[in-house]
Amino acid sequence: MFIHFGLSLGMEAQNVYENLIGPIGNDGFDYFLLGESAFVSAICTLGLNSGAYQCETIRGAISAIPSGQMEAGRSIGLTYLGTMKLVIMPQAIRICIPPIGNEMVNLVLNSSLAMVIGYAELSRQGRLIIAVTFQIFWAWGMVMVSYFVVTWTLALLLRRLEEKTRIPGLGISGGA
Amino acid sequence: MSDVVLSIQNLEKTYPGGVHAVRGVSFDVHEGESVAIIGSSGSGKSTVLRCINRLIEPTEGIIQLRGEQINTPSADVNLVRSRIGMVFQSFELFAHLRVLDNVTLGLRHVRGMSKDEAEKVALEVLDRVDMLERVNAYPGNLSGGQKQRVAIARALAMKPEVILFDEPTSALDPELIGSVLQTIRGLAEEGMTMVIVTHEINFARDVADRIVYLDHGQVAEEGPSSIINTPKTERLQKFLSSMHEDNINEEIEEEHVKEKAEYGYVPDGTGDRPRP
Repeated sequence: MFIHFGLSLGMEAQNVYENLIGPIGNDGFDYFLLGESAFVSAICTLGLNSGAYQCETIRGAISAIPSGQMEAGRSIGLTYLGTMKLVIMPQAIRICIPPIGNEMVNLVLNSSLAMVIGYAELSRQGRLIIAVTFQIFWAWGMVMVSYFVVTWTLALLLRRLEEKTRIPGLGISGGA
Repeated sequence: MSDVVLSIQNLEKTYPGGVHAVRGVSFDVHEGESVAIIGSSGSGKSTVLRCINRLIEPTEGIIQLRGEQINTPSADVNLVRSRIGMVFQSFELFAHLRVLDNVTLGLRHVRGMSKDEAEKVALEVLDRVDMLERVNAYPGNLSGGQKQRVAIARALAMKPEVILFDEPTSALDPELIGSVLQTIRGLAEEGMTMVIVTHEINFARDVADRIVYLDHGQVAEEGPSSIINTPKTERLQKFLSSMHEDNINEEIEEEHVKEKAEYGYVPDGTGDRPRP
């Protein structure tokens, strides 16, 4: 799964789906199970893929903290883990709020790729509605508005969080 | 002579790259004594200091704190470090914590004090370094001198047996150095045991009881602070004269004469040649 880092999410979604469902076979009997598993597969795929990116973001944030902070923590007698918890992470998390926020918004938008394995997520639902009603403009319009509401709310919440946790004079979070 | 707090014997450190930074350094630090380590950059001063609280593991040699060896695998490194205070050149205050929390962090999480107890101790030490009115400020809003005083308070709060200062004034603006040196001087007068790595020769002469001059990883000269006025070895003489400001001016003057001979004019750094 982690090897799929740079591959397109769609390919990956298909692979996971086939790996999980393949042995069972796609006959009528499995139809209900298939519906369920498509959801689980979609979650696993998106989760693992996004998780890989988020790991990288957090790792980057930790290495952005000057090494002297670790030395200072150790020099007053804290353990390595203690310093991590009390000194490094509180600062690193503040650095990675914006990129993690980006990643969350990205995740919402990437969820449309779950369509590849037949899971009826938002844009798939939009297509189905178009197929039934032929109201192309309104259907895609509502899909767009829905995506916008979700991502905008996320962005606003994260901005609030960022402002709330901002520390005056802490150069790394860009706030003064 | 009073008790030996810190004893360093034949300290050797070779860095993984093959740099032999410290070559057999030995000295003792007695109770209530302040020892200044001086020397040019790259002479191994900071390495020696960092070996003492094991931020760097020495390659060879014995470091004893009150008679017990602290650089063995069996020694509890966190306990040892909590008994040795350290003040860094670049302050290294915890940027996400207020001044008060910076000082109480070690007390609460290493000494296991309650919040109230820790704050009481912290306010006491902050008063000693004259930082009482900024207890709720974040480090980012303090001047360099104030930061360094808080860093000293953070080290003091742990009631260490010895405090190590790693060039405490090198990162400060000239007008801020005074307040920090004043604080350190106050500690020396109170009888705090200290090891100070410094470039402030005059400060070392005034405050330190003993001077250790390191050159190329070896103790080139050691003695009471009077050795600064009457250096015995040639190396220390040379070092001291290079530290002297007049000599720096002289050197610049000499360079100008050389440049004038070479180019026919003294370059002013703008790249413009004066027109005849």
